Amino acid sequence: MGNEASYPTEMCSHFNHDEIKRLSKRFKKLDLDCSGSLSVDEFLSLPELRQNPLVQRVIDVFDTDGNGEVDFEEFVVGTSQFSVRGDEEQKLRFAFSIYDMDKDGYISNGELFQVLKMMVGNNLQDWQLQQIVDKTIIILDRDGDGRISFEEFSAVVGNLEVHKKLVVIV
Amino acid sequence: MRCAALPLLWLPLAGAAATEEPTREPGSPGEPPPGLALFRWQWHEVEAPYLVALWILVASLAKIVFHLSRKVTSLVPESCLLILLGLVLGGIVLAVAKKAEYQLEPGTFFLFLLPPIVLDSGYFMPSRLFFDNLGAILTYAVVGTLWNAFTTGAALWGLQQAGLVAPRVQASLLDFLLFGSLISAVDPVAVLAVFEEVHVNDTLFIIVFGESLLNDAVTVVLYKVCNSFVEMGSANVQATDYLKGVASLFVVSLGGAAVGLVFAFLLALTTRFTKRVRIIEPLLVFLLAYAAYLTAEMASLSAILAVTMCGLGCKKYVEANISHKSRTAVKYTMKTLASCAETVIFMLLGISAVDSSKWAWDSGLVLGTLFFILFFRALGVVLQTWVLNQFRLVPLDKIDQVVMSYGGLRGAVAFALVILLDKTKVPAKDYFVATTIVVVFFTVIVQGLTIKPLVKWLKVKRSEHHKPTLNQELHEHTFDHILAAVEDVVGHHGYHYWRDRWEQFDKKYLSQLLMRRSAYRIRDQIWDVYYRLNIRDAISFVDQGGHILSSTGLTLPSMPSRNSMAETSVTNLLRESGSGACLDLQVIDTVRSGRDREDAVMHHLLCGGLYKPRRRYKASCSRHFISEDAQERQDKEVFQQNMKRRLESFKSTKHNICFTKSKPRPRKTSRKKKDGLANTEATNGKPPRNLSVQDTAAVILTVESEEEEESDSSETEKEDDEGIIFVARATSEVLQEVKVSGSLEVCPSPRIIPPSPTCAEKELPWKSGQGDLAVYVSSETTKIVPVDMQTGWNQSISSLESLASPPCTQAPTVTRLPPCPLAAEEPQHPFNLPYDPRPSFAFPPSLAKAGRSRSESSADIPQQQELQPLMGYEDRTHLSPGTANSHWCIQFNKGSRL
Repeated sequence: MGNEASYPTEMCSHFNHDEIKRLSKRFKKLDLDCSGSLSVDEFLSLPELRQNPLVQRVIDVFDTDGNGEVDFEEFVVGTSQFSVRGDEEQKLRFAFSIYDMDKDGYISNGELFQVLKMMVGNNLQDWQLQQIVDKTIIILDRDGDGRISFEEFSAVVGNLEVHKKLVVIV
Repeated sequence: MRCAALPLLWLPLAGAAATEEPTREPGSPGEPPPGLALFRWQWHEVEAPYLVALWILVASLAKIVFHLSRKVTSLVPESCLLILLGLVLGGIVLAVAKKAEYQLEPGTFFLFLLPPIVLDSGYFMPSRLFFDNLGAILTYAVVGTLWNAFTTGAALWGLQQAGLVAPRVQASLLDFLLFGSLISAVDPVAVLAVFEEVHVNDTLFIIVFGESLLNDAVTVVLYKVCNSFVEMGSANVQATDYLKGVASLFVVSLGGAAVGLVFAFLLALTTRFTKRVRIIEPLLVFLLAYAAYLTAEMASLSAILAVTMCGLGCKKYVEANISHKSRTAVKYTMKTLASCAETVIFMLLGISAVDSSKWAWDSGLVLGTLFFILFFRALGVVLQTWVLNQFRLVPLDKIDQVVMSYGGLRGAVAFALVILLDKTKVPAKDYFVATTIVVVFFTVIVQGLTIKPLVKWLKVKRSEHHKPTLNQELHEHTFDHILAAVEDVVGHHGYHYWRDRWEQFDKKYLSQLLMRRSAYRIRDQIWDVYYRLNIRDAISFVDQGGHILSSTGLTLPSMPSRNSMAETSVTNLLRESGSGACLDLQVIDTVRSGRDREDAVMHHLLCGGLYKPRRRYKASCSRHFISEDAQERQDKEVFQQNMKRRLESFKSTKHNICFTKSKPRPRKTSRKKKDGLANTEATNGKPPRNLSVQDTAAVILTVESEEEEESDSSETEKEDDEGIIFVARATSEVLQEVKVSGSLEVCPSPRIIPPSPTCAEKELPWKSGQGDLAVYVSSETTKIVPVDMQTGWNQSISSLESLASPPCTQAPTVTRLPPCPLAAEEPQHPFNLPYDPRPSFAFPPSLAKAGRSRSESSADIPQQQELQPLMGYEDRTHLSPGTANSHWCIQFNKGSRL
């Protein structure tokens, strides 16, 4: 795991020195106003990011302290969840928090709807989407409270093994 | 078992023997011309195709015999059995004819037997899995094959130098490299045959199998290069030739892939225009894929790669373009051809091995080759996996590596290539042939036999077969987007980045170019999966039969309709207009229609003007179409008329509306006729459910159906309903209605056969008057809404929506159960993305249960009530709290008459 020691412990990530160096270069490139943190606008300055329906969610998840900006530490910790060396639960957590918009630890019907809405855009009608959301929730919801906890989420999604693909090479 | 197959053998032999006589007969000069022969024996004219057909027949019958015993096939892979059968057959032919006939000819093999197998595997390759593991597959295919070829060749040469190979085997280093190149490639046919029975997990399978397909290019190049080097003589080979050899690797592989992609493009484009000649769709698929194979072969590119890419590339578009029936045809034909070719290949392999004139044995060479093959394969796999694992989140562990090494089966490709060697240039050909045969037999039989127990013993993760679930589809999409986003953020343009790009490109240009507009528009995977799930549910309900639920969902039908023959854009319309095209059955059964009386009145009115269906029998003899059932057409007409009329009246009433699908039914007398008419009825009055377009599916319940059930005709066929009835009723009246507890009350009528109308009949006019129809559990009922209705439909919807806005109009009575916050979400609302603080909707605990268990029609209302939120989204808006009473019952009679 490389030279983690040379970084503050709270920055403990799965990256080695080289990777962090590369990330910091990248970070500086993205940080157009040199403020030391990335705002949504700065992210969206990348044309390819603008097309990604979930980029807003990803930024939100990166932004752990909720100040609307992603600083370098958040940046490293966020991306480190996608490291090859990251563990599976971490990746599942990340996916879960993509859906969990209000960060209350549960995915509600409305949250799921909104996330899916971002993904399908105008391909589906709202009512179609709502049907899908309802059905998904029924399937996932084990305890019948109408929302999905992380345990419920990981029970089903973990089995699909899709999260194992969540790897990005930095 | 095998004995049973034996007599069959005699068929071709007897045929062959028969050749002699008849040929002589017409030729004998002395006899007078026989005049008009009553009977002529013309064996020689049909000999070739006849023998081919007979061999295939023998092989197929043998397969049947093998599968009579489950025990045998579970222990022994079919390929082993076929090879053994081939050996036996070959022995018999040899004994009878005194010479070996029927060889596996390389020409036949490469031109006719191999293409169907490769096409089948390319076309049905799980493309996502394939591309996700492309890196690993390519590594094993290219590096692995090169490694195997060179190490094996060199090691054999070393063996010869060491004196362990008899001096009779005259071969130079180049000869051994040539041999190494042909023996090193893992064979797709053998791998497929064995691994399909082993069911290892998907990743492992795709890696081994993908490797076997892609290494063809490498094998072809190596083989050709070595072969030409050998022919030139090693002395004449110059440095540039080596460079050319390397270059040709790229030319052959990329060229092959390019040829495949070009043909895939052509194929997709062609199928876009086959709307009027559905019948040739499957043919096109085969023709163009075969053309790709032949073209690549002609240009001496990698033909296997070409067909694989063709199948892989065209599938998405072709499947979207061709009709449902064509898809089935393609699937089965492809599987049949592939299985047939595979069977023949293995059997011929066995037969060819008998011909001892072609081979010469050398123990040193054979044993050495066997050992090196296994050893270097294992070594190569371990080394490559070690490298690859640096980049994989889920590393290939030791067990996977064992299976991968052990699964490196050699097969018919190697055999065909070795037969192709030129004996004058390669003096040791006979030894190579013998060695190849042994290697092939060893890998297919010994490894094939043992791999299953090995996999079990090592506890290799097996593949679980699960159908795609909604969750999987959803989350895969989400994860893909997440990955692409993170890659973008990190600035690493990796696999996901390019996939994302590709998808954008595909969506923007390719799909539009290659897919029919109708197919393109409705293509959304998530929705597809959702659809399939619902249909599966529906089918299982029907199968269980017990419960009668009907759904308007009968939308069932609408599913395949995407590409179905009646390509009216009915389905499009449905999807677009948001009608109840896809109803979730789990939801439906809890819904019930709330109005009857009004409906009844309305229907009486309507009924007068309804078009009365009449059967027309049309001879359908067009060779270019499988004509849709006359019936279907008729239904459509009827339906359209009904719709028009109803819409009009509907607009005028502008009141609570619901539409049910139904169609007029023919009289009982006409039972024999099949009518796919459906009828669904809205039943008794309940407080009006304020209109909802989608939930429209109101239908009925039916207790009353006793009568019908027995008569098995009348209501039974309801299930196929297709039609839509709009029911409008005055609100005021509705109010009066007391809540109805269940369907039971609705139709209390005892079963009386013809005369006395059930109450439903009284109330629902369309019910009476129509006899039963034959049940028609049609597989696909495609029609839903006629196209031309679309505009009218949309208008009316909008008018309804406007109506709905003033709360007072609607639902006076309603009380909605607690989870109503959902109502807050207005459909029309543009969605504010991220931070929309909408109240989250929670399902009452009972909900899930209610949703799943099809409760009796009378099921408790509250529960069902709760399900309502599940209905169409727009619907929700109109629901006002307190619809408690309203309750739609739906009945789904199982068509018993079929």
